[in-house]
Amino acid sequence: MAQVTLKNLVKKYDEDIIVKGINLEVRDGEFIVLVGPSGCGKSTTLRMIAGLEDINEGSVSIGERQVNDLQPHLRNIAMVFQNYALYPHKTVRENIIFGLKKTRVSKELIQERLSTIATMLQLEELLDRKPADLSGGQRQRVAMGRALVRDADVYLFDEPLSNLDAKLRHHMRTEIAKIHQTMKTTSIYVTHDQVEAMTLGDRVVVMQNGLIEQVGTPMEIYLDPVNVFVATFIGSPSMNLIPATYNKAEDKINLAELSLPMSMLPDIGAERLADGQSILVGIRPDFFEDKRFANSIENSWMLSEQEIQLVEPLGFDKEVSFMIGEQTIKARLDLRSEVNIGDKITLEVDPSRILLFDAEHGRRVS
Amino acid sequence: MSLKRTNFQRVFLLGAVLLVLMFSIFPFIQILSTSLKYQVDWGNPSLIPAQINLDAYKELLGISTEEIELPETIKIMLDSPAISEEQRAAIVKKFKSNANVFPFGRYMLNTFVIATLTALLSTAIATFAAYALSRLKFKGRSAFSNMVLFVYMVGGVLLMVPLYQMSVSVGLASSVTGTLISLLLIYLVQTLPVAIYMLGNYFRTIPFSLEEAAMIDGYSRTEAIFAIIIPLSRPMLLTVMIYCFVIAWNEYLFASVFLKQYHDFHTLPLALQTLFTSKNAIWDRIMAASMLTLLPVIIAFTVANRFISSGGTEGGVKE
Repeated sequence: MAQVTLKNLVKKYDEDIIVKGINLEVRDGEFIVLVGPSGCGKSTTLRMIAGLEDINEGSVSIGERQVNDLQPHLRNIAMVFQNYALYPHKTVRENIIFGLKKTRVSKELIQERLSTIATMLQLEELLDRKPADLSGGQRQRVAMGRALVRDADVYLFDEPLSNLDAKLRHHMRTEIAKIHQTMKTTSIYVTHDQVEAMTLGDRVVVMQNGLIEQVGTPMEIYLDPVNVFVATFIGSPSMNLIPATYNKAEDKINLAELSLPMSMLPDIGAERLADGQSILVGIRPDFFEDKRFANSIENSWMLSEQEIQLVEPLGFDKEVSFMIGEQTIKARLDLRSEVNIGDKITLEVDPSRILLFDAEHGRRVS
Repeated sequence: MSLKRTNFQRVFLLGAVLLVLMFSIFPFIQILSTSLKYQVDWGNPSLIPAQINLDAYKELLGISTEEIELPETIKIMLDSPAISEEQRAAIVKKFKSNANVFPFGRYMLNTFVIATLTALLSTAIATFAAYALSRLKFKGRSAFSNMVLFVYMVGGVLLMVPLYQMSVSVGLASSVTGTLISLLLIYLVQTLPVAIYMLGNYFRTIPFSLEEAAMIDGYSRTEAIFAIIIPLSRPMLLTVMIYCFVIAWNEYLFASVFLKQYHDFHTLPLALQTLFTSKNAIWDRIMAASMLTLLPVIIAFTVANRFISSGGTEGGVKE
């Protein structure tokens, strides 16, 4: 295993700058997830680490050695591709041990590792089949087996679950998490799915437009986003962002007909706000509670008599929509809240879960 | 709107197809028919010989059992006591041999060797050239890719004299070996563009991620080509090889210039032309020689046809 260090990494295609200078350190044994929308540069970053893309500026180091000019086959990395990239003319067995045959590992050890991986990924019955005879999920397991059977310094995953159906994706996510628990490999995982990011990563790197927006643990990203992009990208449904203005004279935030005293937000320095400044009040749908069933929160912010516009049952939870001014707000309530469209309920929010963002720049006000 | 054809349309279409088919294969049927006819039958327009005559084939393939009559002058010479037994046997052997009628076996071997060498070398060189043009990024790739086909813009008739002069200038044309090397080089130049074009197009259908996976697995790019690309391209490699073989097999123009003085090294197309104008220009023999020259080409195309297909990469990547 080894750590991976990216320093001022830049990738250009002609005049287009895809990766605009990123810095990241992946610790030894860490499972880090690069997440972001399509085109944000996460796969390009991964491919530069793998050596499949040239580096225009900056450096990539694996362990102590800088690998910028090192060919992929000399970097001792393993990779799981989005489209599996299985060798169609080889059987599952041959696909898995293909990389091992290049090393000086004995035949007995190769068989032993093959057997371990085949058992771990439930591939024993499939070893003599060719990729064309496998389902999508089976192919993905073979692709993972091919990577995991090797003793690589770093394991790279390029959206490995994106081609699977939801149920299989959920199952494979669990398998990957279990494998990482067992093997503790240094892993860099790329995905556009924020659920995968939150459930798999020791740390999550949120990227946009070739830059890193934030690096942190899943809960740090979820509870403490640094800007509007991170706040809305992570979490489903997205964080509600309510347009508001700061009234310095009354030291409160006005949101349409509601107001939020700054005294409820002691962690946010009011001195950072200018009178009349446009801000966005961010509240995740999960943090609204039905007053009738809420745990007693000291000094909670009340939203009284909110008329429900829409109810979307999700089984155990339900999502309800109501209006603050012109803005539709979503709240997630549990089974106990039996509400219908048109009902008026009082909701409350723990003020420590309320975030403020500058409306112009999107940066968090803290 | 109904797309069902009427009976008239079906009959018309079938008739048109049959007409084109007959137009295409009639010359070959005529060649075969004439090669199997006795001399009295040659003027008969019927395609079916009145009696099957295999003598021409037997003569060409050297399996004729007919006793060859020695000329009178040779018989008198053999009776001379001044000639030793060994000399007598050699003279009889030479005159009874029908190999000089048309040494078909020799010419076929010559053609086979040149065509096979051309096919193998051309395919090998084209594999790497096609890989570079289809997979690698370098300055001038597009221009080079287009320029490769420029070879076909200039006709062979314009090139044969300058190329022969070049061969003379470098000293290759002064020996048989040098001449054959010159011819091989010319055949390579003739076959490489189409081989590169066909292989390049095929390589483009192989997903990049397969080589990338091999490189991640510890294989250098060259090793990945041999381990992944070439095995996956076997059908197309065989097709290209056969195609190059056929081009070299049928080539007449440059062979006629370079090999003219080396009768023993004539290729079949060149030898056939010589046969047409020689005293052995007998119709059945000419047609039999043509059929035997055609046969490897027909077999090659039949074999190649089975392999002109894709699907080799099925299952490797998510489509």
